[in-house]
Amino acid sequence: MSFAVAVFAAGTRIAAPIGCAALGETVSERAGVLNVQLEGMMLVGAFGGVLGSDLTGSAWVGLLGAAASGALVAALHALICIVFRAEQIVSGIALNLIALGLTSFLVPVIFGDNTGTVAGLNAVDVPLLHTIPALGPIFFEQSPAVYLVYGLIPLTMLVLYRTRWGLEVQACGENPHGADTVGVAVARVRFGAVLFAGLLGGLGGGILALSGLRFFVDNITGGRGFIALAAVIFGNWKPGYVALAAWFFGCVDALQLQLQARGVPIPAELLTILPYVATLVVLAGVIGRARMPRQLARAYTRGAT
Amino acid sequence: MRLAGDARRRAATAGIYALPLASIVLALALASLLIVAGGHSPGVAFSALLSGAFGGRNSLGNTAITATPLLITALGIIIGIRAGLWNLGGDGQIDVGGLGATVVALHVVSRWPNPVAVPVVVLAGFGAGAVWGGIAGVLRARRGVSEVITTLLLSFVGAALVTYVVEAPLKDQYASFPHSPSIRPYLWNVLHGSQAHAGLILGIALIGVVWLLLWRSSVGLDLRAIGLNPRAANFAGIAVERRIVLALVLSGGVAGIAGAGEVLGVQHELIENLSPGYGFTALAVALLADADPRYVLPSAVFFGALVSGAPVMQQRAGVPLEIALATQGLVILFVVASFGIRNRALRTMRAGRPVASLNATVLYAEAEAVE
Repeated sequence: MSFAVAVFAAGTRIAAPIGCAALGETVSERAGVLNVQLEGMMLVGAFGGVLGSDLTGSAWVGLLGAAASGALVAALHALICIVFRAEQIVSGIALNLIALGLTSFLVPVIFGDNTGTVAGLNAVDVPLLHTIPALGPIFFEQSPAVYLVYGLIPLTMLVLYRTRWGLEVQACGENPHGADTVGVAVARVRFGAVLFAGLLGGLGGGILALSGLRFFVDNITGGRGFIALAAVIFGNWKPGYVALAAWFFGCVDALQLQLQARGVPIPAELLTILPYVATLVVLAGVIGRARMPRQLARAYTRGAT
Repeated sequence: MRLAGDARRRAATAGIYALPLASIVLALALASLLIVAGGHSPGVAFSALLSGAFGGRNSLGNTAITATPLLITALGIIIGIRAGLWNLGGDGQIDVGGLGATVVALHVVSRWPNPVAVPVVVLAGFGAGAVWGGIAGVLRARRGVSEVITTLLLSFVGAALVTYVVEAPLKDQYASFPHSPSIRPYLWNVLHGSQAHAGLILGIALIGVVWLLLWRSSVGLDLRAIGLNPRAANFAGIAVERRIVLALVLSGGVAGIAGAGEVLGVQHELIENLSPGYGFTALAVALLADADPRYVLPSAVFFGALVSGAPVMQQRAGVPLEIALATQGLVILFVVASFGIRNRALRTMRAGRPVASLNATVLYAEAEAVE
């Protein structure tokens, strides 16, 4: 495998959990709700995924559990931000701390001394497609969960742009007062959007854990949730570009890992910041032409300005 | 009219004390449930926590040591919140501030008399943190990139930078774990028998400085105006872009002071992971204090006690440290929920807005619509 192909293949693998979470977050932010706790949802999802797989011996059930765990956290956030109309960012940060503390706390309680791995997802070659030169090894020799994420991209686009609900979501993010006037149940739509972000965020965490380590370590997500948040901005709140943004980050991360492995004369610690710096640079350049949902992170109160 | 005013005043006064206290109580109650779920006794756990935090000089010193960076960083975060900005990069700014402080302490002021060296080192910490905050500030003001993301990303970068520095350029040759050579300037001890250092005094002094800045200076007025209504501030002639940069510069700089304090008073050298999550805990401190500098000290002491008592709680009651983390989150959660309710109740009695939100983003969306 050539260097480039190896990097892109690894990049795709790294990007999948991030992209999954970012897709869900795109929908939520389009509806006007910011989920700073995406990191926490991924973490809880990783935990739930490992737990589910441990209990049933099936990684796919684990992924279901992962999604459900993320949705639980999302439901809490939605309750606080939509019903109580508290500050979304603060609620997000609080849930992140709780998720981190709780998952680390629960590891000995639930898993005890068991340090074995759980059933995970092995890479599967897509017949025929994986023989395509270059693109084949990059995209079609991945874990089935990655293929699932591929499917989520057009699915999210479909939901957002071609369903009634998706259009309502967009309306709630741009002009909830107008939407309310024509009968859109803003609170309910936003709640659903947040749950969607939770489902996909938790799923992303589950993919991370079950395609990778196959057991849970404290803070396994290591900031990926925040990268997913950046990817949404990076992708201008459009699912296709958001997925691309996640892929970009994954590839840069894979690149710096490969550079480290090859003993490039740049210190490892500086290489690890490469993806973050790259993201910042792109954000700085991209945002001039980006349009965020007008009512992002602003609580909606009927009748208020 | 008068009745509405009285009711409002009563609600506000009750809210200021009752809501944070109620939030703490609820959070601790939930934490107790977690402790029980883990098979431990909340009674033993909390008494261990209290003794670890307040039982004896050493413990008091530990609480003070932990509360100091929380206090200072929270003040910086408050400057940001009051301008409507979320500085989530406290960790990175503390780290970078420590880096700046260490570099100056080692290479510029190492032979200076302590009373002169210390302020210079603190200033260096401020400068480094200010640069870090400034990057996010410029990205926000000039390019409209949410500081929520940029401060977070910069936090990772800052921490990695410090890790690199203590493992290479500034590495102490004979160290078992990576750290810089020891620095000469130091912050004086303030409590015999403990490690509590004068950083606490500095922090308390900063409370006054920040309050004066925000409520008695024109800069502070501008910042608060932007935080409450950026469009109106803009129309009133306030240079919103420049003030946003300034707010994040100050916010990062103050956090950098906390980093300098850690290096001068606690570590006496630069280590990796100088800030073990202080940035987020400081946010909790700031929020519990309702973004008001006057309440930051008790809030910082509360969280400082939580953090410094947690190891003892683990030792004596077997409760994992992560409980402290989860409790922090629970406190924020209840505080924000209750303040959300309170602010809305106040708002229905008079026209007003909650303190901080992403209001400033509306400015850019509106500007786009205009052109």
